[in-house]
Amino acid sequence: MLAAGFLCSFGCAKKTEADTFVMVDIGYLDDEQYGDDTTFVAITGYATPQPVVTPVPTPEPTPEPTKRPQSQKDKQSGGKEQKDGKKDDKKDDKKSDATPTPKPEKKAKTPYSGNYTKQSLSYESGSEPISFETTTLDGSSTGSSLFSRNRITMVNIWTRT
Amino acid sequence: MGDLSELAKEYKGSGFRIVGLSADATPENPDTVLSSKEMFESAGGNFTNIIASQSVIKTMLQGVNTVPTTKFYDSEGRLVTVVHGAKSKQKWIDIIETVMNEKA
Repeated sequence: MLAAGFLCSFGCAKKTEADTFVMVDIGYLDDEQYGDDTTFVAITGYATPQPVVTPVPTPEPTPEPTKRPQSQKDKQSGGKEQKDGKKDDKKDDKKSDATPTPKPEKKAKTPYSGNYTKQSLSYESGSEPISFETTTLDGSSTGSSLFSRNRITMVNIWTRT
Repeated sequence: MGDLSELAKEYKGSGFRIVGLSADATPENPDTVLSSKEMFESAGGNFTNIIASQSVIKTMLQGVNTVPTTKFYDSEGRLVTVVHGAKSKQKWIDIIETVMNEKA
């Protein structure tokens, strides 16, 4: 009979001060089977344990960093670093903009550099580079490029007679 | 010619080079080129020897009145100095070293 009463029951819940829930079910039984005045009341009580909430401390706001006055040393090093950085940038720029330049000729030691008598020679001044085309005795074509691979080229002019 | 051939060997790779110029060998006359070659080789010439083309006559042979004459040029083809007459090997060494140390 109690089970049948649950079939058409309604309920409500009330929260007590002690956090205990009490549910009251009031049921009305079928009039034809049990008569008009038959009611039942079922009281169910249970306690719901309150979840333990651990208080989380609210982090305090971090104070903004205050500017520390630079010492002379720091200023020097900082300035240097900045300058170095600029220098590096400039170096990088130079590297990127660098175009290949012909290497200067190495001044190789001559075989008699320490064993010769200095001569009094009259040097030409203001002479213009010469340009010519010719062939060798073997028939190979050549020209002014003969001079470019050496610091000094000596041209010995001779004849058959 | 033999002394110059020795010097050409000794100065190889030092930034100094010897070149011969056959003043009477011209491309217009192949026989002159052939006979100059024979003479050069018989004298032991082992370095580059050029002939007197028109552009050579107008440049390197300009103002040359005596043979042998030796002209020194820098790497850009500018005339450095002129030496007249034949020289001993030691004299050539003195001249070459002076030019190399003062003008190279």
